[in-house]
Order: sequence, then structure tokens, then C-alpha cells
Amino acid sequence: MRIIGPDELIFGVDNIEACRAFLADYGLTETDPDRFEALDRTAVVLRASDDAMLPPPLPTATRLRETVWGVEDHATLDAIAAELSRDREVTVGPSGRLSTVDDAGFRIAFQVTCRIALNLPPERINSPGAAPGRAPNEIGANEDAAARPRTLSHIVYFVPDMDRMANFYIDRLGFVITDKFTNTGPFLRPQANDDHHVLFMIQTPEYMQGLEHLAFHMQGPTELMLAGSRMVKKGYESFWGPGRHKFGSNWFWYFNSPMGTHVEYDADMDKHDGDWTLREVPMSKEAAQMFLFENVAKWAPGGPPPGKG
Amino acid sequence: MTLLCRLDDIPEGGARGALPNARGRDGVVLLRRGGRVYAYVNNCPHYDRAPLGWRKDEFLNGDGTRILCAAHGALFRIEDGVCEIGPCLGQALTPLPVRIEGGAVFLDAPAV
Repeated sequence: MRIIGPDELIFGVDNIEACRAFLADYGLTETDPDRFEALDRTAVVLRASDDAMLPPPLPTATRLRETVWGVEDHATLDAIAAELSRDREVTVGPSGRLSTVDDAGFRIAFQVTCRIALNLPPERINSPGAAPGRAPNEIGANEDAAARPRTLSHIVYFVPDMDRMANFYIDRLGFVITDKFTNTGPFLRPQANDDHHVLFMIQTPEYMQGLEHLAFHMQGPTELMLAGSRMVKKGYESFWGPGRHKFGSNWFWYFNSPMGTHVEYDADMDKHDGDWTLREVPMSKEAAQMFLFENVAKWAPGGPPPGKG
Repeated sequence: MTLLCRLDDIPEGGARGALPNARGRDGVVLLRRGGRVYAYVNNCPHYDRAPLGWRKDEFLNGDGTRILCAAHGALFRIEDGVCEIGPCLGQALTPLPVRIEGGAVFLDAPAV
């Protein structure tokens, strides 16, 4: 199953103005009305919660209505339709998009990916002993950088039965586990994506089922911190970060959002192939990150103590 | 008593953060309804470090009838802080006593 990753997340919200402002400030571009895209056209889509075209809501607090997965080609779509039609209804939309439900009850859809190939520079650094990342006179600290999210990286669900949920994605859709937090959940990677994870889950009671967070990849740690700092400056509520995770190695910075889910910037995630052996540890503060910082007000050094100059 | 804000700083039917810590993060959420001011610790019962809003002074759902936790979408009643839906179902925000005097809102308790 040549699944690439999440193409689109569709929300049903009762505060669409606040959500629009958030997503624009986060750095996504509104290309169609209420469709907010990253550079590769992966997107967050907003709809009014009473929009009759939306899939029904879960009976929980989550505003996520549908997760649309991008796949490589029509052959993959056909294979998914054949596989999932064995035990559930799969409907085909006008654009060929398949819609169904996963084993936890989340509405999911599949389409030939909307992603365009990006050809962009990485974050370039100078490191002693290595070839310089930047040419002489090329400045690293660019405060005017656009800091646009590049692509929808991953999603994290609260699920009532992590094993049942994981097995659906593994046995039916060909995902593999890269790493696992015991009693919390596994990190999953689909076959057509070498990122450490596009899907993670956290075991919770049924009444919590929903979207824990979504994340977009940034160019690198500097761009992540620039984008996050801009959010703080605009008054948005930082939840966790900046820091660097252990599993996946990705830099992270999470914000609260008016969609009622955390929204993360991430950067520099590990990549894996079939030679990788999964690691498993209990979830803990130590395991959740390598280090954690918090944004503070800007400051500058000076000369003597105040009033002594 | 600790001064939180002027009463007029909280719009009728609206919300406001108050009592910022050293890093500028508001410790208290204030809500004004029909001449009353309700105050809660600005933290969701779900976690010990989970501020409720998504942006400075933004704490309410779309029609302003509930406090929204912008972490996972929990909704709390304004009058008693009880969570009606969300990860902290059945739990409640921590209420704080406030006193309105001379057009100002005071925390009627040791500072949180």
C-alpha cells in the first residue's frame, strides 16, 4: 500500500473566524476559501460545524471530522478500496476520493496525493570540521524569513484501544511501527514515506477520543523557532516547547489552537527504512524529549550596572 | 486582595486573562456575565501545565456560552467551571473568589 501521509485534515468548528486567523498566523496560505495550505499543498480545511456536507462528528470534544490520506497512484486507491470493502462501506466521491471509517471510528479518506514535489534549500549551518553550509558573507540569522510550513508532517490521535487501532493501520494499510511508548502507543510510518512517523496514538478513555495534535514540517530548527516566536509575539498560547523529541528526533513547538487541538511546528525528523529495529520504552518526561526550553522576553547584555555608567 | 483589572476591561459576555506571571502568562481567567464576574485558575484539569486559551484573552467557544480549552476542545460551564465534554469530563476548573470594588476586580484570596 503506497500511502504517503496525511494530505488534508477537515475540521467542523463553531468559531471559524478565530480558526482562520490562527492558521494564517501559523503560516499556512488560504488558497481556496477556508483551505489553508502548506508549501506542498497539504492542508487544513475549515468548515462550519453544522455544514451538512461534513462527515458526522465523534461524540467527543474533537472538532476533527476527517483525515484525508494521500497515496501515490490509482493502483493504491484500488487496492485500499478492495481491502477495506471486505468489512466496511467505502464510498467513492466525485474526485475519486475514497471515504470510510477506521477501527476506532475516525472518518478517513484516501486520494491520489495533492502534494507537489518541493525543491527547497535545507537549513544550512556552519560546523567546524565540516564543509561550510553557507558561502562567505551569507547570513544565517534572517529575521525576515517567511517561515512557511512545508508539508503536513503527522497527526496524533487519542484512541480507546491503541492495539486495535494500530493493527488496523498495520494489517490493513501496510504501516510499520518505528518506535513505541509502552502503554501509550506506537509511532507509525506508511510504506511510501520514510519519515519516522506520520501517525502516533495515545491510549485514552473512550470519552477522550479525538485529535491530540497535528504537525507541519518546517525547514529546520531555526525556522521553527522563528515561526514559534512570531506566534508568541502575536499573543498565541505556547503549550510545549521549543524542544527536541527523542523518538523521531524532531524539534517541536506546540501551540493551543481555536480548533481545540494542539498544532505543532516540527523540524528535522529522522528517516527510516526496512532495516530499522523498533525501540520501545515506557512514556516518561525523560523519554518524551531530549531537552525542553521556554520562550522568554528578549534581553540584551550591557556594560556596567544600571545607573553606574 | 490583589488587583486583577478594571471591571470595564472585561466585556459583558466576554473573557479576559489576568495576573500574568514573570513570563507574561496569565494565571487567571475572568468572565463577565450579567453583572457578575467569574474567575478560574487558567489551567485545564487535564494536565498540570495546560493553559486554557489559544490567544491572549481568547477563552470562549464560538457563541460565547462555554469556556473552551484550546488544547483538546474541552468545554466548561461559565457559572461553575464544570467540564461538560472533553478529556476532563466531570472535573471542574478551580474557582477563585473575586470582589468588585470601585469599578475594579480584585482577587479575594492569596495570589495564585
